[in-house]
Amino acid sequence: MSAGDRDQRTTGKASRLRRFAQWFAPRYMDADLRTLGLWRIVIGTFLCIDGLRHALEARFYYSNEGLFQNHWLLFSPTADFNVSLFTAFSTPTAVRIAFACAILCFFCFAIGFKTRAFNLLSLIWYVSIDQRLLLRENGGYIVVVLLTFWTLFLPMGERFSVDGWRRAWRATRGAKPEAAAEHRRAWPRELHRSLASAIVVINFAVVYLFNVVNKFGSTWMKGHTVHYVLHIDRMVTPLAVWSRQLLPFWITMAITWTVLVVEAVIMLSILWPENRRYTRPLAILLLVPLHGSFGTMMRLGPFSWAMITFSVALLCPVHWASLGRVFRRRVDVAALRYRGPFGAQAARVLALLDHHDRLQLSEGEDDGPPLELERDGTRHDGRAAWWAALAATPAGRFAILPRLLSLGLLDAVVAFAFSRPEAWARFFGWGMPQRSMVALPSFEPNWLSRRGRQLRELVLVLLILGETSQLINENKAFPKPMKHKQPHALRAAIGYPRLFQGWGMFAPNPIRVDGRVGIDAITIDGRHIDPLRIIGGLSPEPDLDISDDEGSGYNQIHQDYQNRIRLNQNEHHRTALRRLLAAWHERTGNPADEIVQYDVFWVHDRNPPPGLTEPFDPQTRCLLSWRKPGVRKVAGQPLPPHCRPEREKDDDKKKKKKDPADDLPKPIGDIVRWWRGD
Amino acid sequence: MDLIKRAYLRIDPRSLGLFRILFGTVLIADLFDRWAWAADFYSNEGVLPNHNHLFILKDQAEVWSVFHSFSSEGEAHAAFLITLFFYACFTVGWYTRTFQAASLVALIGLCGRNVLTHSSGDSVAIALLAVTLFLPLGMRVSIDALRRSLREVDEKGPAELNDRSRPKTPEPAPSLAPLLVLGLLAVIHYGAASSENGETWKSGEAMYYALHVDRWTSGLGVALRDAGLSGILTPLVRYAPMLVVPLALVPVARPITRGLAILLMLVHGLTLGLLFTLGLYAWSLMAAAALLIPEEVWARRYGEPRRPIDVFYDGDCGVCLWSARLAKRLDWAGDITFHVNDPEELATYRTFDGDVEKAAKVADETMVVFDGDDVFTEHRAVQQVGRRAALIGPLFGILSWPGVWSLALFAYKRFSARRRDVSVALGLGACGIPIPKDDADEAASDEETPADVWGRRLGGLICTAGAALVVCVALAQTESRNPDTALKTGLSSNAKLVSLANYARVLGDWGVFAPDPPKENGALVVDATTNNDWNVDPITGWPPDLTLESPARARKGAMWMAYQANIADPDNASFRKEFRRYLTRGGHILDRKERDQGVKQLEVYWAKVPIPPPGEQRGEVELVKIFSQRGSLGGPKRRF
Repeated sequence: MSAGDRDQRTTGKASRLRRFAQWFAPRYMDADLRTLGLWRIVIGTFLCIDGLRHALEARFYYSNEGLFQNHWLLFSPTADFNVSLFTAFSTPTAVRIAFACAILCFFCFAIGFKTRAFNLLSLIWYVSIDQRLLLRENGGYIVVVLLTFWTLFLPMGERFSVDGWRRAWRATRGAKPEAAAEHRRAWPRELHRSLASAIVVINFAVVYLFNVVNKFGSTWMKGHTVHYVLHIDRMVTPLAVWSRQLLPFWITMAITWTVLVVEAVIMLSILWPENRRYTRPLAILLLVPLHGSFGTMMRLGPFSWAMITFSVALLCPVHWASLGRVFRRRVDVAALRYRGPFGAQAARVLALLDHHDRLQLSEGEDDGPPLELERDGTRHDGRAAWWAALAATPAGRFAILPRLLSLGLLDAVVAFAFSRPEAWARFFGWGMPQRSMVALPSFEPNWLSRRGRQLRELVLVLLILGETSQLINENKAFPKPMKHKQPHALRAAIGYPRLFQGWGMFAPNPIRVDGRVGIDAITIDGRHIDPLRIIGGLSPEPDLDISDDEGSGYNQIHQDYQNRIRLNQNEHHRTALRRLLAAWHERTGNPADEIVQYDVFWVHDRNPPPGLTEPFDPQTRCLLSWRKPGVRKVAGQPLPPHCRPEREKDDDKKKKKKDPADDLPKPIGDIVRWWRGD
Repeated sequence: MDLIKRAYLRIDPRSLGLFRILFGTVLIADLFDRWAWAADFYSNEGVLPNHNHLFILKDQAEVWSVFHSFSSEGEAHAAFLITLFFYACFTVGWYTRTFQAASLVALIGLCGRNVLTHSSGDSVAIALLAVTLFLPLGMRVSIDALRRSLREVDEKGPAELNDRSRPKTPEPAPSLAPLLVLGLLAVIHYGAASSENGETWKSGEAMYYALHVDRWTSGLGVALRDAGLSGILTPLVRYAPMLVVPLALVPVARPITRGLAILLMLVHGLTLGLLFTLGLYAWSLMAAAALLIPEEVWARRYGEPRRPIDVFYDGDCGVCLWSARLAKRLDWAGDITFHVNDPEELATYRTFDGDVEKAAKVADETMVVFDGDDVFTEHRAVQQVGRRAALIGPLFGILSWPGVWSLALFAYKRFSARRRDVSVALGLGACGIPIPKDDADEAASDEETPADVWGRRLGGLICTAGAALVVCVALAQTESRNPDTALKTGLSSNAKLVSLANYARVLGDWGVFAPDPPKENGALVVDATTNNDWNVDPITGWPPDLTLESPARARKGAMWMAYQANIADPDNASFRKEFRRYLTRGGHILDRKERDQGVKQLEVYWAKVPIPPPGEQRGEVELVKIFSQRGSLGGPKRRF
């Protein structure tokens, strides 16, 4: 091959690469700033709610009065790279203060105040919440961490944020409302182009892709999954219990296959490069009911809601344009006249919110109220004009929420402000604005910011490589030859912030064994209690019969903790449970609650086979047993004999696990085995 | 009223800025001191793993440290790096208050990670950092102030650059915080004086005994300890700080009274800082002396030009204009007059001696400085401008050093040739069109509105409350820990205040030699034998000094000093298990991966010898065995 041919080939490759980049970038790498703003609000709100959910369990799961002391976690970490700020907090009060700090950071991120800084702090705090109690971690926590991590590389605070508002407010200081409106029209509307946007979309699709391909077990193929899942009492909510009693078996089969198809369609809709105007809403329309039903029927923690949160990132500019058209059709243009310094400031606020130019601003010439709105011959004055004008702005459509939440206080404040406009203008030193021209925002990047962007993209490329490696190693669908040893630095970079990529809920098959921890403890005054049920907000009497359960009633943190603490590998973590039971009366503050004996069991049974509704093979396995030394009788009754703690046999891997591929039709099973490299 | 306000309710923002820089530097130096021992004191490889510390404290000791979250040596280094970032940002005044709060959290964490390493300096530094959180430390001499000033006044040419009417800086919130800072200094100094009340202090021998305790005496202290200075140093260390606050409270002749107070603080601090290794104690108090500099001193130093110069810069170069704007802000005295280096203007410029030739010769230069009859170009011109910078001016003398000036000249020439490209690349083009501003609007923005006044009042109230809380916490703890103290306020009965002080590691141990310095010289000596029969002390790397003949070898800084004394105390026996494990793993010196360096057996002693009265011979060394160990206890749980 001549040098010329080689050059031509190289040039041809470069040209193909360029063409691919030109095709790829507008489809996957562009993010609308409004989408990012809305996404930030949704993520931040979600983080606040999830933070509160965990804060409610602060005492028994995060402090040293509970089931997992900080010194124990530090002595015996539950995973590699296990660092959590929460391990620095010992007492319930200190832990609650830490949760307050975390939720404050989440809130500041939600409202877009110092967005980038609070995004980073939110990530640190959420990872800390997760790392403090890995015994209850599931894929949902990983999704939330990934959400918070990828957003670090995106301009989340440009729109719908306090930061953006402060920038605009400062820039239009002393300006007439008309000039403020001009400034607002020049706000960034262009798309943000970055690999981060592509990663978000692809990572989202990857979750569905592997949720589909990892589900190759016979239960899925035969359509029995939903039936089994609905009978996992540990996880189900009362709605699921009601559904399983109501739904005939053939419907659950149909739902099983539908779930597979829907997940596949969602994945394709997310990634489909053309007609995104239709494919992306289709994905949202499918995933919201899918995850909504998961979330309301199962106690899966943050997974379902995090996936719904993720979906906001799918909105494209075309959708915003459509929404804008609808908004403009519904809201008529109105004339807004302002008078005096107070009216001018109120009009400036409205001018900055009026993204669809529904307000025609002008200065009132005669004496009159500070604001006056006229639309279709109807006139509003003062605060009525304010609320009417606010309703003509996109953000104002949501003003009803704070008005309702403040129980009328907000209305009272506005009424008070409009009752004394001159006094307020004097108080804040507002004069009549004179500037009819303000500097328009400039977004021309200089050399430094261009280099900064390139550095960011380079970091993202490295992250893509790392996450791809993780994806291959974690997912069963990749054949064994592709699995590889990761360098320590990569494992640390993924492990500390928990940026894992293993996807496959109920894959390859759902679990068919149901269980929970049950405690039979006897207090010094002879009562039988179950402290775990008390902590979980259930009735205090022990319940060691699982066969009549209709949902265990425990929330996700409790049920996942119980499911993991039973495992042989977590045997040593039962020390904290032992301590909690021994000091139970100190926790309750009632000396009569002192426990003199307890037996802790893993009570479990097998889910009913397809077509049946009753579980079978109920069993109990003793995990812990203790009698207070010197105590032989309680309330005149002798203490029952010890139960003998046993290890779970299946869990010791002494028995070879059954290969799920064996359940498949032989040709398909052979293909699966070949793909796995067996 | 004005006099009282100026004397008690106001600290000059420049004094606050100087304090911030000095105190930040002290914190950074302390951080590096601790960093050297990160593996030994801040990781699970060291003397006290985090889980063991938390377990021993059993949630009763009211200790909190963010450093408990980090286990491995690598994690500890990462935590130190983040702390350095906080300290550096605080020192340069970038988001000052935010990073001061972050620095406070980090400092409390550093001090609380191992309770046995606590020293009086930790309490002093934390209390000072906490109380000054309520003062506007970033108002002057900070990146924040510079950014604010650059944003508010956008000079476009020499006329605006030479307009030295300062843009209005926001007045600090009227609060009692400045007075409360003096209150805290009083608590520290009187707390120290009231606790240091033993016989040796009264007889004037305290410093003699203190200087003979080898574990905390510096090399200079050792050299001077037999020079008969105790009679002077003892009253100086005891009484000098007691005069500081009364002198600072004198409302008149402040340059003199405050100057005297500063001098006493410096003498006291230098005495303790140079003769002993007490950690943060002396240096923190010396940095606090900057808070006492009255505004009259600043006005006298920078009130009027002293060595005026004329600076010609390239008006078409954005970086040059930006540099001129920066120089204007650093030139507090107003020494610099700016000109654009228009060749015509340069050609007609006359130096002091009336010579027009000198200026004509340098008409093509990017930057020219005329200082009287002298003409400077290139990097020397930069140096001349830099020397006019307040506080940091002397640093520009470095540009004259051999080697440095060649580098500076090279850099200058490289930049000068490409200055316009660089300006464009950095987005600093000088041809911006100024935004039209309305006069009425400008005038209005200068006036203080009622909202501003109320905002400031509210801010002042918050600052007063915050600073008062810090002082109350310090007082409560002083009384709680030293029931005999003269500072009796009854605050120690408030358990929440004492609890807060405990969590913040403000332990009220203000007196470093209280009630008397020890009359015996003691040191922890480890007598270890390795597998290859090497007899070594695994902490010092020298043969065990059982006779205390070579105390200099055992000196490892303030943390080791405190730790060794505390671990020898039988009350801290619960901490010894992990110390024993640390030593059997090789301590600081031995490499446990080397089989030969494995510890075969060890014995740990507290070696003590009475300090002989002046002129007498030293007695026999007594060895108190703390523990012994044969073979290794094994490592901690490995995480990866």
